[in-house]
Amino acid sequence: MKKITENIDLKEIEKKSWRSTFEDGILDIYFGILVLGIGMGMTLSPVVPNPFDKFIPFIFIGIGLAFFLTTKKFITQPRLGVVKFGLKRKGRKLKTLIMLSINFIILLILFLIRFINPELSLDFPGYLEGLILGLLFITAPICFAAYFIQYSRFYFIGLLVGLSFFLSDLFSIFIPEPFDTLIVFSIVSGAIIAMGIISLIKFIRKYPLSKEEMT
Amino acid sequence: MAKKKAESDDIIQPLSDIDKIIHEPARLMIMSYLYVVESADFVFLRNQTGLTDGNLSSHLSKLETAGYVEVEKKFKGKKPQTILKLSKQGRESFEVYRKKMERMLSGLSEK
Repeated sequence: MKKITENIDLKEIEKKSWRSTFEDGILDIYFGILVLGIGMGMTLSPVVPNPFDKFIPFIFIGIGLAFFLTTKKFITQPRLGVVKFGLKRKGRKLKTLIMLSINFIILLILFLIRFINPELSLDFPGYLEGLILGLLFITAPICFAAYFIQYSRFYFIGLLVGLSFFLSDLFSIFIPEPFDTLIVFSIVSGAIIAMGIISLIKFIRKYPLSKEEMT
Repeated sequence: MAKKKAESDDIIQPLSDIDKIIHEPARLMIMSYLYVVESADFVFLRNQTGLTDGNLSSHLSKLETAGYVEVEKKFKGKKPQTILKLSKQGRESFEVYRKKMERMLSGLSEK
């Protein structure tokens, strides 16, 4: 009841309601699993026969998605409740989706061009290739998504994931391949998953399971 | 003296026009939350407003009786779920209430 005495700011109320849907940290954990999948795919590709190595990230996407949907259904919704947002939010979501789809298509085209002609190179000097491509195609879209969906932790996650490729190149000086990639991606995904787990624990404490609805 | 009384009445008069159903603090909070979203269930609204189950339930009944809130009861698996949304009348009344309050409060200067 303490909130009643505070000033009523409708924009702030809407933002607060929206942000509460991210409090569970499940999106972070899902993203961490995806990053781990990319790292595992890159690490295991020399060991796993072609074309099965290409499926490794998809296995992790599947695991992540199953985790996301199950946790939302059995942990988040019974505690937080269910809310549907208005047209403005739906518009923002749609913009994010369109922007991420465009980014995915560009990445796919680049991948196909290199697949068809492996000798084709973008000619970035040394370790800068990983840094530029990471920041351009991973950090930037994730930060755009963070802006559109107003989810501030995504800025940090985007930066972390974007730098992974560059860091993995740097680590290759000290650690033999493919362990450099495995170590860097495990640390990055571990950090993201840990952030998500901490948020999830806080969420469970903040929103204990209720008895029955009384209406 | 009579002029001053008339001026004071002009300021106070809009108070009697304020929608008493919305003006109650807990109901105002419920209406505000429902105004900014399309719909929400009972659990979400209880968490956001900080009201107790009984309190929220009683205020919702009043808002439903006034025709401001639409209540849809359904089952999600074996558990009951109550979905709440502002009716068209509720949305319009809330907007009228906001405008009236803004006008009235802007007229309350410290002079």
